[in-house]
Amino acid sequence: MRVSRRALLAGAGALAGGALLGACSEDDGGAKAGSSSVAPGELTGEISVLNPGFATDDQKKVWDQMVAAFNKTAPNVKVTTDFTDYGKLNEKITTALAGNLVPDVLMTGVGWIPPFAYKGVYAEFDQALIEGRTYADRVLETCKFEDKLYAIPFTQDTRSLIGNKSLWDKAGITTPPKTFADFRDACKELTSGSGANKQWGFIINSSGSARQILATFLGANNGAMFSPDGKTPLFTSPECTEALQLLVDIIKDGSSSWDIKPAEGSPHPFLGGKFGISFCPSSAWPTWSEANAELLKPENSILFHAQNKRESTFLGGTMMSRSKTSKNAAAADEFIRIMTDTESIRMACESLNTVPPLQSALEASETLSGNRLIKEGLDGLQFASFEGGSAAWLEIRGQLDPILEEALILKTEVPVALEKAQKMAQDAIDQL
Amino acid sequence: MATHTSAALATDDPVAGAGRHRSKVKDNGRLHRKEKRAGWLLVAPASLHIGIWVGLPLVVALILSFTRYDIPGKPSFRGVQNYVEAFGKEAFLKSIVNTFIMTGVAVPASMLIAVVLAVLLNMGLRGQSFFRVAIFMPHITATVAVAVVWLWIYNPDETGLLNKIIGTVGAGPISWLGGYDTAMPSVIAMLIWQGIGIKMLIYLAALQGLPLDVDEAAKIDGANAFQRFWHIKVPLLRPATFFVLVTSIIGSFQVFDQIFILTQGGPANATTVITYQIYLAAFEASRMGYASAMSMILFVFLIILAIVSRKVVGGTDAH
Amino acid sequence: MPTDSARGTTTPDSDATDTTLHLASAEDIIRPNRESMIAQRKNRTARAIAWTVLLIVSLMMLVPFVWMVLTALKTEGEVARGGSLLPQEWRWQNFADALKAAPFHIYARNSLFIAVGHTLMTLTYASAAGYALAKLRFGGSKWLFAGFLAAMMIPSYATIVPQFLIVRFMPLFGGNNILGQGGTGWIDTWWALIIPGGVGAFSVFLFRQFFTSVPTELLEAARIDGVSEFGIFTRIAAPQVVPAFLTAGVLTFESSWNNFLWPLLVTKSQDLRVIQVGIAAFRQEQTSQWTLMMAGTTMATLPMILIFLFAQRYFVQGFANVGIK
Repeated sequence: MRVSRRALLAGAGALAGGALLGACSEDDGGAKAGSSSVAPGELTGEISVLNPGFATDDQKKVWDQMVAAFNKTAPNVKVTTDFTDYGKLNEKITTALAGNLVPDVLMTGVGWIPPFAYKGVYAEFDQALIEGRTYADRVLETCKFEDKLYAIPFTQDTRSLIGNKSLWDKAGITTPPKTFADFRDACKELTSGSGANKQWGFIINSSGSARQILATFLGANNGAMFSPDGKTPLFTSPECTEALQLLVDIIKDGSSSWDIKPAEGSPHPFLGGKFGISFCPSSAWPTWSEANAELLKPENSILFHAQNKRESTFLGGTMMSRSKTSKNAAAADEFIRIMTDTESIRMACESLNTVPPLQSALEASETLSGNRLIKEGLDGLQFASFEGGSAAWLEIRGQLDPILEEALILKTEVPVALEKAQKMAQDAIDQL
Repeated sequence: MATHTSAALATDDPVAGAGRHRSKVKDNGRLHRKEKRAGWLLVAPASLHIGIWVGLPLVVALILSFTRYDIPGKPSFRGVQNYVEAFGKEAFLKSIVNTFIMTGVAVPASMLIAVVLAVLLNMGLRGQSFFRVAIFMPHITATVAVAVVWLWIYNPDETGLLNKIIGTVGAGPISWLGGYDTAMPSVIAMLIWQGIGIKMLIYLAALQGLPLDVDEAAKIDGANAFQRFWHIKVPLLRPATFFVLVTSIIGSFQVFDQIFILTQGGPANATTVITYQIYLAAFEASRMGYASAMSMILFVFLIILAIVSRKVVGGTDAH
Repeated sequence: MPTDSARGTTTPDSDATDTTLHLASAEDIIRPNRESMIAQRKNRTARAIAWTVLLIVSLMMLVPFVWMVLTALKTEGEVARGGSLLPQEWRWQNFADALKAAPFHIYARNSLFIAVGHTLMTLTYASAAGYALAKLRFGGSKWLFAGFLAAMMIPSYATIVPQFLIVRFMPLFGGNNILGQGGTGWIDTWWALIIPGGVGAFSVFLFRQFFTSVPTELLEAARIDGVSEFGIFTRIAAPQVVPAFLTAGVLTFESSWNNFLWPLLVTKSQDLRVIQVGIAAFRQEQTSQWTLMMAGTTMATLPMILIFLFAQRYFVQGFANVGIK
């Protein structure tokens, strides 16, 4: 458009300028969270919450109940919730940040904390906020960056391993394997037949993405994806190489194949009885019980953890954080404090079918205690392994999966793939 | 209508026509000016609207592509670094190849099927409303639901619909979306299936304007259906074909949701496309500058392809 | 466009010789001969083949929908167990449950407003622009056309953040001052939902292509007759391309009706959410309700089917030319 080209350029400048002005006018959230000396009853103002869950009406009702409990102690605070689709949380947060319209309270997942803490999106919490609560060390680790607390655990999702007892009995396996070598052998023994009648030892690609599966076995090998300060990737470390090599060896043995994976909405392959071992997400109870309740009984299936140097279970979940630019820090903190406390997470986990990070919540709930997978998930929190640990994680994770998959579909050798991963991760960190 | 008679007079009556011509010359300048002004006025609202809502963002994206803009943060000038980085990334290069392959196969295939279907659906057959709706259904149903159903169709174990079908002849269950070599063809098949409807609709609309008399004359002269189709209908459908080709290529380059749900670009980048790389950069890594650079590269590809399309199909000049 | 006086039917250029044409074809009917009988039989076989092809293709197109509807009629347990194609008992209840699971009456109302708004805006502005680009001579029209084409070529993920920023920093709305600072602009308002996507370059391109086939002589003649340019557009050119209006209308309505990401990003309150956002709620991180999701999608597609059924009835060759007489 000839005439308006000049106008366009001026407009673009104004637009960028407007955004910059907006960014400039943000003030720091001020004092660290939790150090407010205002009594809860006297808190006023509004807080906005970005919520990637509680999407259906029934779940929203539960959420409203939880918020009402907060309003009982802080009746003068107005809470507005923006419910977003969990699949679009990335877009929602990015546009909110770009437009400087960040909500006071955000709920994000494992791996998000270091990047957002590093970028100054999240405010630091005073440890006093979680006084009196006992969290598993590893769970709290996901909420920390450089040893400071930037999030509070809300609901968790864990993934253990599950074994098909009748297949184990046939193969003569009585106890879960305690080393990688034993695990590989067990998978071999559990494999038999061919073609349509093939029985696979292990369905590797049974839950989550390649990097999450690797994280589980990496943790079992007492390894980590990044150094404690998050500045060096450890993909070429011996622990990581052994972990990935184990998976590739199992595939090469013929005990598993990367391209076998569950289809969303279809019954999980493990429930068909043709797999000796599979991952089992803690949230699988309702669907799996419908499909094959028999198999889920303790006498028919064994829940165990990946193990080599230590036991390991995969940890995912949602944590609550306060944004640094929040104008109502005191109210937001009190909100988070109450929402992550026993009663509130009990309601949340019952509604969402997730694992509570606090033992007290499980004990207070019959539904949760009666759910074998959730109970086991909570017990396993002490062994949690998780992905992430670097401020550059959000950039790394999207590129990590294809590289790992190259090794898992036997296209590239493990050391070569891990070299690629190491370089990619180091580049991303150097870019920060 | 008044125009009808005028048209007749203009072509039939040479005397009156000549007189008209003389007055035409006298009024030419004024008519021309009126035409110019009308042109600008009529095109203004749409131009303004798109100028603001697409043009402006396009310019912003162009500017950002030369910056480092990590959200949250402020943009800082970076020269062509983003472009260098993009072309140095294996995943991005693979995505370019994949996008071209996808487009190169899916677009011609669905166009061909669509134009044939449109001709068949124009014959006045019984129940053609039902057929038209059926063929258009894939387009009007929300992509998420459609993609999930295709996940079930492509389910890797014996319960997937496709595996059930090939199971009847004894072929083993195939992991359509999980296998490195089968993932791309599977995605392409789904895209062809989904893309036929809208092309059919446009061709159908275009066929309405084709004169019946030429077709009838050819029929009398003994031309069979295929000859009539190829030598008469197809050339007359050139404006529609150009439109369908360009918009289909653009649409194919912009496919995202299906990849996101079906394969997430995998396995091992077998089905990653440029838009997926842009998504990762823009919304996972929050690197808007880098994402804008990739968007500009995609944009340039499309411009080149549009120019090539014009040469291939032939221009449809105005007036 | 050529007119063959021996075998003519109505065409845009048809002139007063029409009456003579029909007699010729009447003769054929009165005195059928061997050639025309063979032609008729060939014609019948051709039509039968065409019908079969269409049937097969339609069924292949419909398979996923059949699956969708069947899933909508199952129980969650049946979906979890998998295997069976047909539902045990046909749970029509699921449709009611889906409607109750979220305020779909609000969502549907919102989607309707937005879709109708977009369609009206497009049918007026895009047709005007398309006509001008196709038929009116004015400086820069070639560049403008190129500009519209270019507008289609930028991927939506590249423009979505700038568009969001424009909406958010809209001056003098939502508490913003003249520089667009201080408030929330158009965020969480109807403006943000309706205005930005109102006219698509796609529709402009579509109209332009259709308008190029309108014979210029028709317009010239009207011009000479003294009809205003605007009048030529509305009373002469536009009726020639009714299929374009129908097509652009259906496609614009469909894309607005099914739009998901943009309404999600620019709104915060449930009152402004749209149908697809409501349906997406059935698919969550931990558990999904497939039966309700399929039921919801089926119901969301019904209005589109009706609109399309209505529009395509007017796709009968020759309709565009009826207006001449």
